Amino acid sequence: MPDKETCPIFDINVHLGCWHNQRLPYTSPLQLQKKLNSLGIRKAFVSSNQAIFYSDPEPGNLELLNKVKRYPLFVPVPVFNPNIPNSEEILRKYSKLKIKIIKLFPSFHNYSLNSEKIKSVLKFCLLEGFIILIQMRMEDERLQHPTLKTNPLDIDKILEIAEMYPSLPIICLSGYFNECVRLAQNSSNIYLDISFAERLDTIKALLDVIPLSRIVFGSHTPFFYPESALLKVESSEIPLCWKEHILYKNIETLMEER
Amino acid sequence: MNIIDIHVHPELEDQDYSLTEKMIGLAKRYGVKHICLLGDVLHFGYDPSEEQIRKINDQTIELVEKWSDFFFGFCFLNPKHPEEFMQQEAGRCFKNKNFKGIKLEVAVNARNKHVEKVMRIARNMNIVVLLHSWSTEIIDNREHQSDPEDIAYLASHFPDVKIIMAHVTSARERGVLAIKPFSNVWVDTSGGQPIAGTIEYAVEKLGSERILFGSDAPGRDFSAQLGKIYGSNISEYAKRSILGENARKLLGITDG
Repeated sequence: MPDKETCPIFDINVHLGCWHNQRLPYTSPLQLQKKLNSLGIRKAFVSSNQAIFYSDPEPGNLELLNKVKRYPLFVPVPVFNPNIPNSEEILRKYSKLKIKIIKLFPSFHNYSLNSEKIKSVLKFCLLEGFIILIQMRMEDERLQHPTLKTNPLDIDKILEIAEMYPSLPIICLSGYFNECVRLAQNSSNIYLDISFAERLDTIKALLDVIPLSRIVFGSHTPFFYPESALLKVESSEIPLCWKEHILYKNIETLMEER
Repeated sequence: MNIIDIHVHPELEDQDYSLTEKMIGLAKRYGVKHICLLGDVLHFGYDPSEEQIRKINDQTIELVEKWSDFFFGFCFLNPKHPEEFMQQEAGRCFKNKNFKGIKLEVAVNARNKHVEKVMRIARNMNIVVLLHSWSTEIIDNREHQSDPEDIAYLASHFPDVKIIMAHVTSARERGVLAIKPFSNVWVDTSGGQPIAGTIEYAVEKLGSERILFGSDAPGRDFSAQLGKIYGSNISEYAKRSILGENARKLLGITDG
């Protein structure tokens, strides 16, 4: 495993708050920071669980911002719903504030990724240099609450928008192994986190079929034990410098390009 | 730490042993001392014939003989088959001392009358039965899938047969509570995503002695599955118990 002192870990898939279907650990920023720091994670891109369900996510995003601002580990990522009436105004505000990353939850906000509305949002994001995170799922569909179910995303529609905006970086979070492979193999601008992807020798199996530059570290903490994602990388028999790319350099490069 | 992985499936297509050798190599890298092979149980679908059952067990027998210091075997049965055939098949497998139990998948629900035949065989041979289980709240198909409540029902009717309920991740809190009263039921940690809190809850309610580590490789990764145990907020004693000691005691494994 790379040296924790010289190889910081950037976690692209972190959440803060409670969840209706799971008694989550680390629901305060202090607890979450302590846990992630103990594993060598030095930057956590975090979004608010509550904001997903608010009719207007923005107050939820601001709540998160206030909660984490004293904790250097966190990079707050706003939950963005393109369906709310002032979505363009919100995007302009983010741009002015140099917030160049947003997270979409199409399954929760009930829209299609190839709708006209989302296309205009993505066009704006492309022009303003944003990075788009797409949360493909929050839970294994087989274990959702029986009355609060969401459907998996349509991979074809993600590929469609990626092709439409080839210079727009899209990071897909929480995809299963086969979804990750299909997304990476059929696009040039889609990046994948490793939290849900699983196969014997996961990282090696991913690298057999998709480029190193497209794999980023994401743990889906606190829904998952972060040790699972870390062990996937740690135990993989790949060169140390490849591990560094997955653990932080790929995300760092994307951010620097913004 | 000498880990025992209670839940691994070989693949019938692995004729040149390349997958098996890869699994052994990876497992050893993580300190896994022994693996229990359960057979390629879904290769022929939900309801394999007698001939197909023999093929699946042939492979398990072959691998257990070839790597006798590493693998233990479970005899895969379809409860819908005649009791006489299942007895013969269990007898055939258990000629090898490294066979440790019977595996049931999804031919029928655990409450189905056919399962009683298997339980009688297990009782007579004094061996454990490892059953697939998955909460049907979302996936339905209870004709084939067994809820933890179905495993509890079976355990209550056969209190003298030791049962391992697979996939505690899917059982969640309600499933753990369902089997809690039945001291003849253990759970394995195999499969599913590494959902935080699952292991802590199972330890709190069942005690660490009733939990067995399993990976469900090769569909799953030893790393992610071991991360559940390493990442859980439980005592070192509990981790050691889950990772190997409990399986040693339950299956009568004396080495390592």
